[in-house]
Amino acid sequence: MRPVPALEVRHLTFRYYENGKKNIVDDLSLTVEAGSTTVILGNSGCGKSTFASVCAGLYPENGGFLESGEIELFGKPLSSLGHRERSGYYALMFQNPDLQFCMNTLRKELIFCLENICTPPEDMEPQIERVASDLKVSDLLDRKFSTMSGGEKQKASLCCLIALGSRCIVLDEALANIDRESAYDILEMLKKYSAGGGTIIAIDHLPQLWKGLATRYILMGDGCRIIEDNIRPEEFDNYKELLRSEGVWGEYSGKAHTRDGETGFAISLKDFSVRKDPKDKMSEYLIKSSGVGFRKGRMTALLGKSGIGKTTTFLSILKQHPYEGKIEIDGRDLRAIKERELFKTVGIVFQNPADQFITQKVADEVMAGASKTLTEDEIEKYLADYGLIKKEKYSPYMLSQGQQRRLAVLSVLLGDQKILLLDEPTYGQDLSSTEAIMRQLEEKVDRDHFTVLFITHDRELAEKWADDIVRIEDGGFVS
Amino acid sequence: MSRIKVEKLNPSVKAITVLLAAILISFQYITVLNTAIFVMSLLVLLFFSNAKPKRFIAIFIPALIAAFGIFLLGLYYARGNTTVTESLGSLSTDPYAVRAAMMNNLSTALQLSTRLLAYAGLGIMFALTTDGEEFISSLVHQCGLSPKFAYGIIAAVNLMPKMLDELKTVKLAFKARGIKAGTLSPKVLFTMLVNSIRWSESLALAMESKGFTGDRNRTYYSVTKVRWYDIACSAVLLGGIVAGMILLR
Amino acid sequence: MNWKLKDVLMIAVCAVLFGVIFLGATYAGGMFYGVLAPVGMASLGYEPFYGIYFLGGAFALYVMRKPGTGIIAEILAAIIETLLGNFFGPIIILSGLVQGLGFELVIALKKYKKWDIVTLIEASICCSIMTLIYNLIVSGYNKIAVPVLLLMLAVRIVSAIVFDAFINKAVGDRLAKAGVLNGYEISRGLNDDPED
Repeated sequence: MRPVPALEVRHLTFRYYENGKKNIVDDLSLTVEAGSTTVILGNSGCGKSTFASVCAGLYPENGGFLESGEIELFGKPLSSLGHRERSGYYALMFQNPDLQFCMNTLRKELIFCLENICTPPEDMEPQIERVASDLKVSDLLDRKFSTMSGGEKQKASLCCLIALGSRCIVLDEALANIDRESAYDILEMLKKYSAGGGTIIAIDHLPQLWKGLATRYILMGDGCRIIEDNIRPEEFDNYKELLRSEGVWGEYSGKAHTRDGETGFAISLKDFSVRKDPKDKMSEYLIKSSGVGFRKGRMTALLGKSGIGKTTTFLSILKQHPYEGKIEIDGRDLRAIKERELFKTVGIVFQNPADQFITQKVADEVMAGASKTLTEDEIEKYLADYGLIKKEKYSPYMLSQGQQRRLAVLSVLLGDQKILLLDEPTYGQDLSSTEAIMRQLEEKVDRDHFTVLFITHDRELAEKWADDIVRIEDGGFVS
Repeated sequence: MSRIKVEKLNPSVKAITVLLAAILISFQYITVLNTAIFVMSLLVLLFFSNAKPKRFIAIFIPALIAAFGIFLLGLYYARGNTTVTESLGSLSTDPYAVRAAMMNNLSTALQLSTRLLAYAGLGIMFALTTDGEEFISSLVHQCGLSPKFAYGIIAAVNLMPKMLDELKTVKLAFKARGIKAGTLSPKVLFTMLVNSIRWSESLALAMESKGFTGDRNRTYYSVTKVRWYDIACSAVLLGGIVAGMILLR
Repeated sequence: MNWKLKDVLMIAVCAVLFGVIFLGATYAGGMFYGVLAPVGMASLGYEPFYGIYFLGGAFALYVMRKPGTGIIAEILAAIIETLLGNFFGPIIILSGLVQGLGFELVIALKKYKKWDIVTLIEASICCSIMTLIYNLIVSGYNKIAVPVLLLMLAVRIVSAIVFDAFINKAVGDRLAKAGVLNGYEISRGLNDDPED
């Protein structure tokens, strides 16, 4: 008799609209063995995240239409389990660390979790202490979530799932938006969990993170169609070509970059200090008396742990965060430049692209960003270049995450601003989407001599595309 | 400092007491009684609570401003003394007539403004001595609020820091694209609503994935209870107001 | 009534948005208060923003379109404001109830079937009148001269119509068209499949 699998899915078909034509999950059958660590790879928007939520019963309960299929968790039909029982078998960790908690500290969130599964009140305190010390997160217990970095929040989130006693933990791109150091900490925690018999399913764009832990890789295509069901870690290298051609993962193509010639600084920070809290003049310094220059007509990557001051540096350059010392834009003191004038020189793309859409239609969005009036044909051409073909009449909010990001980049690139700041422009993107965005930036730099400064956690990306790499470490810039 | 603290009272009983007191207050116009209720609230805060002076001032000033507003309203436009409304146009030409009318209206003005202060006194006493989560938990245990609503409220309130951050980003993003947008602009409202709706969906998935069903079938780390002194305090306050209404009539 | 967690969260998160962010921005009253004080009309300074008070209920009702939504949303919003330290404390739960009732009454009389702008305007007017009656009793406005009350009511009605009929409908419809409200009653029949 074969052992009961952690997850068994048979002929699962799910779509968002009952009468729609496109199935997000299309006739998927899959078995995940208990105790294994399975990494699911696939393009952005191929449906793997939705699939993970369907297996938890979160859909169709919260929307969408399940046409067919059976799901079993540890041998029990999903439909026979309520949320309480399900969480003991299968619990999810999501991509956005800010949207996982209902309470404001980890201790309270753990209490909430334990109450959900009807733990007797007198057992809660000891369980919380034990799980927190096992996972080495005791220091996080009573800190407000709003003061934690993304990485710390994800550790807290994993702690909750382990406290729930879930036999299978599913990471839905949970490591995508956090710095590498935190990601490795979380992988350590998962190793322990796995050694204790836990099952792990990870949806991720970075298979190399999972080396040493993964027992199997699955490659999915559009509609969660399975392209390769069982890639063993030892034969992973044989599939590199396939992953690359599917646009899922691989080394970045193209030449490594260094542009020749001397050039001045587009932005220079001199004796620059900035505090954590813009309103509190006594709050700690993120960066203290440090200087750096970002070269004109070049691409510079800004790296560093989450919460170390990357975004704050951007905000200072945009006159939105008080600083000490001096910032010069094209040699002019920032303090002498009016905000309106500044925004004609400096453009920005934020982490959440939905924050910056100003119109209701994709075509209008492109138009609104452009410095001159565009003809319909021109707009169509731009959209085609950015993989947004036939989307001009859509609302920007109807696009997928990746498409939204590309649209946000496109509308800013068409403007007049010669200096562009981008906050994690490729976060949560697969290989092809990442390359598309970076190529467009590169083209702007090469052809129109734009200066590009981007924040990223992806070291390979920085090495491949940036002329200069600047790290923020211990309160200062390191070039 | 006293060992008896308003913080120890059951939040639901406290809330219902304040509500009932407010309804009682709305039946009378006794300036002395209103003032007494207001002063009593301040004294209770001062001697029987751990309320922080800084928070008190932050919440008291808007109340004072509102009370002053309604004081002026009564002073100028009390009913039955139409001289003022009619002579509004002659405010500059005949200030003495206006002033005389105002004196007549003074009692109305005081009635209205002290009533508002009485409400505010009770409201502030509640706000500064009640822990939000304890209040919600008490609504679950004493008033039958479903945990689905209870945790929904808590989760939404805890989302506030993120919401404020995001609002800043949205306004900056618009500014950077050359669009002037104040907090009240429909464009900002729209974008923030898009975010809010998406956030509520994500939060719901995360909470349900952690085994939250929203039904009452769960354990509770701590359960708020109603004790004899909750009822006693409530009875004293409400009894005092009723007695005041009768005696000071 | 069968409420989904995400519906409750949606109402609550929007209540925080309207109640804190947008109302906070007008903590104002101040904007007009100072100007109106010299003519004794300071209290009128709050009236132009009354529509925002009603928005929590009006928006939830317009989006979800099921009985009780408006009332429950207003009560939730009031509880949230109590938590965040409104100086009226739990007393605003009472005004929340009146606001929710006032707006939903008109919608209920039309059996939750009419959602055109006229219905929303009627609901806004009804809500304004109900809350003024509340003020007559609770805030002691019955001591104030009738012409002044009528002026207050007029400003309140205009504010309610602007925020709870026009902006509410415009924003709700746009959100639905943008596919953000899929799964809610307002989107029934809209965007059945954006992928085609």
